[in-house]
Amino acid sequence: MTNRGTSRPNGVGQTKICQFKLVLLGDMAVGKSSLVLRFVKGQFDEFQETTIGAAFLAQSVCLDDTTVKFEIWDTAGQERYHSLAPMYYRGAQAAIVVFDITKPETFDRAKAWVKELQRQASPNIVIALAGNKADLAEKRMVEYEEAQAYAEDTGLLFMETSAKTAMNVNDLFLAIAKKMPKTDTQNPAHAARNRGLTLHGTDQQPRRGCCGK
Amino acid sequence: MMRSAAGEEEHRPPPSPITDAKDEERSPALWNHLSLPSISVLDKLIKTCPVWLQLCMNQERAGELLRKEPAGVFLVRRDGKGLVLSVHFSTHNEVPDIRTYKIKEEKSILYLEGSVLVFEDIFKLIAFYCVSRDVLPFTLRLPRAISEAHNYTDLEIVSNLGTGFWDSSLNHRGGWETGQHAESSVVSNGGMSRDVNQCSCEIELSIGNDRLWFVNPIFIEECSNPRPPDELPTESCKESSKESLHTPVYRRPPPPPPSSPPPQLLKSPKERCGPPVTVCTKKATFLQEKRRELKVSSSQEQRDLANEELPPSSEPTPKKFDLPSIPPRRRFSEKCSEESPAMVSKLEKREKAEEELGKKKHHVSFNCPGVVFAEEATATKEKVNYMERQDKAKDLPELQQKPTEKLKPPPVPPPRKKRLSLQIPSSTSNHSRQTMKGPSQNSMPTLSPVKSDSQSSCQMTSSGTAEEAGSGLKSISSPGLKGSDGSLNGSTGGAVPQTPVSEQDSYSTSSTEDDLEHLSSPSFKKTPSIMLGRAKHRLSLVTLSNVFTAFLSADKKMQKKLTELAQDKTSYFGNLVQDYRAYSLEMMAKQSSSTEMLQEIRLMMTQLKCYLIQSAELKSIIDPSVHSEDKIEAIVEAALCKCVLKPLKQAIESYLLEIHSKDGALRLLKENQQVIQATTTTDLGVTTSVPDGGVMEKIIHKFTLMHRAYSPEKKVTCLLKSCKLIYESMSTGNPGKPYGADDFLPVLMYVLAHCDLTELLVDVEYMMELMDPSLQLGEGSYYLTTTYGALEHIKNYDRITVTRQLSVEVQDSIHRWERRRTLNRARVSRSSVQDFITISLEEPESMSRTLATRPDTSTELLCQQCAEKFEIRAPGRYGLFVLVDEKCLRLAADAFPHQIKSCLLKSEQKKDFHFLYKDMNNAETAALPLIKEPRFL
Repeated sequence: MTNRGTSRPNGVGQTKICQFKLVLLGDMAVGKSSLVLRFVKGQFDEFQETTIGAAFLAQSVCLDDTTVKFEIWDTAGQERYHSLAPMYYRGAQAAIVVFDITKPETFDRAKAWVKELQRQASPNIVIALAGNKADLAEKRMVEYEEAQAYAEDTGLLFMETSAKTAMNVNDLFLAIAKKMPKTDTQNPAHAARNRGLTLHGTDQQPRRGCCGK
Repeated sequence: MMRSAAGEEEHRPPPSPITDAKDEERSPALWNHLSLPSISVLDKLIKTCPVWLQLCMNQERAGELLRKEPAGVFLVRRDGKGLVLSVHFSTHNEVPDIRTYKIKEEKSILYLEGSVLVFEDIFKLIAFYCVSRDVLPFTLRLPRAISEAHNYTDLEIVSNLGTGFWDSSLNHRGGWETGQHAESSVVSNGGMSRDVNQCSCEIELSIGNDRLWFVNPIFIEECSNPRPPDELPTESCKESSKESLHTPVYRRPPPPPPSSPPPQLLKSPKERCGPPVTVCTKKATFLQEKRRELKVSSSQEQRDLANEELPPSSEPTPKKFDLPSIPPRRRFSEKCSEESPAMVSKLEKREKAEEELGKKKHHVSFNCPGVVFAEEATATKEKVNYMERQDKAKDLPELQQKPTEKLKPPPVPPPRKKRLSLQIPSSTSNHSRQTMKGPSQNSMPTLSPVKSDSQSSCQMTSSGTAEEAGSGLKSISSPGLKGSDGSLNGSTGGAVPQTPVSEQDSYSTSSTEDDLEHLSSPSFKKTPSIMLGRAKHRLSLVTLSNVFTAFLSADKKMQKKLTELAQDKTSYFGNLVQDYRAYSLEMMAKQSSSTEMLQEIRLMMTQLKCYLIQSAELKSIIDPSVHSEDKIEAIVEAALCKCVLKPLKQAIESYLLEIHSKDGALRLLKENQQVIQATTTTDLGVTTSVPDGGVMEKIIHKFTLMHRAYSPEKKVTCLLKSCKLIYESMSTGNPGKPYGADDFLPVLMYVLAHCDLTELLVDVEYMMELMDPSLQLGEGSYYLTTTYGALEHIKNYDRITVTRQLSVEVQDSIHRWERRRTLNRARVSRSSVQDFITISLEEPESMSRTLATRPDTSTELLCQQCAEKFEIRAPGRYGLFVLVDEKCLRLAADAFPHQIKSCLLKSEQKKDFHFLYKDMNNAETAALPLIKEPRFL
């Protein structure tokens, strides 16, 4: 099933399309949605799908000849809804854990999320840590080095971002997109197909040998 | 025929001034009805005949069994050449006494010796005597395990015990309400069991003047004497009743469905069958006011009846009457208008009397005008007065001309189900040769004759045929388990998907336009519709680009063809679909986990899809140049939704409700819903505006549409529209600001807490598990997950605030959901397509089971499955046979039944075939030819 169809008649040209589920985690008001909205709005409309609201967004990015489509699942950051989070990260191939560099407690919370993801999410999930609100450098309470060191220790992608200035936003998603196939080629979720889209794992190198083998 | 007429009414309950008021009270109870279906006496009798119908039992053994039972418990045996009814009769704990009553058979009817009431079959006879004693000292009584069974599974358990039931632990004797029964019935002479509610028998009463009265309790109820009794020519009645004892009983033409109709049809009589009790009660009260001399008996009866009727009974039966379908009302109002004002006031009085009795009752009215109704004829009484109207006599001759006396085998034995549809034609024949005769000399039947004009007899006939045609529909469209079970057993006729009346065709309403029309109901003003216009535009983008591709005309055509194919029972695929449906109904009854149940159905659909996509049948339909592979899959999926899910929807929903009322989910939701409604929006975490009244209405309307849809995709579309409305209301006052999950989820919680959570729970599960697994990614999936999460959150509201954790089970279930979506596919590809074979025990129309087989399942293996399903104790004696166009062949042990079935289905000449599981050890079957290869067929 994973090997089906290298190109679909209704796909985008000869490009392969890979679809991934990406979940956003992080405390309330750290800017999860702003970050994603900045990413989505900053892209070409051509690849943007209209959705009914910002809790779910879809956006494709182009990597060489591969189009990576992200379905972005936002989660409610309130502590009271914590218990629902597993429903969202279950089956996700990527996660962005967001914290606010001006609020250290959000960094602690982010660490807790990472821990939970590593324990309970798909083993191959790509986790990115985003220190958001980097534009508020004067109010910074979480040092870049501290977060960077933590990310290295736990094997995460890490970037400081600003949804406001768009700093590093696209880079973050691109970095994730690039990392996806390498770390996640066998996810059974790839077997699922969207109408008109075929999902299959891809390797870093385009075209051949990429089909989830 | 009356059955038919009323059955037809079921589907279009005509408005009635009297009943409409009650309808309002009814609707809320519908859910209860669905979750707690009850079973009519007749149904119970049919289901459990292996217990009480003991044709081979001798008198001694019967006596021995019955002596241990309370008074009223009975057996039907064969004694000499006729049937006999053995009843345990004991007066006030004196020496047990077993009485035997001969059941006479004449042509196609049966009656108790000494009685003038005739019945089409033994089941109806017994059902009647469970309700009314007639010539018996008291009404018959079902063993408690049967009378209190609330579902078919219980009955099946009882039934499977056969004779063994009597000595089994199931037959709790300790729990009899013996005293009450024996006393009340003996004393009152009218003892009606409370099962009376469910009685669905039609009764024929005969009196001397060569007429046969065909009575249905429902009419008995409704037609309680509309005229002042003093107008009634009681004298002549008395006379005629005496005569009748010496006159041969006239039989009307072979009556409708005799023998044992499959449950789907049995259900309808029950449903519309108002408790005769009520009638009598009403009547009694009424008469009391009117007629002194009747007072004693009537009031006595009234009391008894009132006692019997009043709530303490835990039976869910009264709910039956909440169904809007019961009362065929039109006639009643007609009648009212025709009759004098005095008549109207009488009706009012009746109503009052009824209210006094504290019962919410139904008015059922004349529905089958060609028939003269006898009231109370059945239920009563020492004091008899016959009232007969002259115009009745006038009408009869014309009706009598109809051809009658069609010969028909005695409807008695094989205690197995017979295809009702086969028998229906006879039901269309006239039964209007009415005769009426009190059940006993001194009973007090009041007749309320009905005009029988040609128009009305036409109506009857046509409705009879309508039922015949609609018998398939009924089983599907009927709410609740009953219907499902029906179509399950009636695996041939019952499962044709046709067009379930109650279901809307979701594809006909699937376009956004249609929905908007729904929306522009009076309460919505111009402004919203402009906004909706935008929404529509955006939504259509979503739907087009996402999973909800609108079907273009070529696709529609193909879908239609597929649907037709699925309904064509002669096609292989049609046959498969039908068997799948039957199988899943059987499966559902056994499931205790909602997800497992739904997954089975989804798996089944996926298998059907796999089969169809690879099949030659599809290739003849599709044009590969027009349809891409994905398109085809989508179209097949849509067609399958229509032919599989649509007919199953109601059964699925009622099973889900049953499961969730058992596991307490519904209760939790309800309780916490109130808690949340009382919580401030701030406490819920809401930081934006919430939908106002108008928007809430629209959202609720969307949810209603969602609930009605049978296609999971269509449901998801509705859900998305609701969410869209929520987003819109959130941005009021802050337009353009996009809101993420932090803001959305609390508002969703707030909204859900103001909706019907029960429906939502069912819908969400339905969508989650039944949606095509290959289509579950995307926006729909996100909001579905979110809604599910919100519901779980509501369900565990208190606990979550304390522990901040969902229960382990919920986490676990969420855990597995993702995996399942892919596993489903994997499973399908691993297992080849399953097939089904419907096998009947002994006779083609008897009890049948649908068994899953594979192409390589041997006869031997299938026989083992049969032995298990039919609970055969000596499987060695049984073999598998195939009956092809009247020719019966035995399958060799190493033959492959599946191959034979395929071959039969594919044969050019359409053959009528049945697989039978039969006893081999008799002369008849032993001589049958043995086959192995299909080509020898």
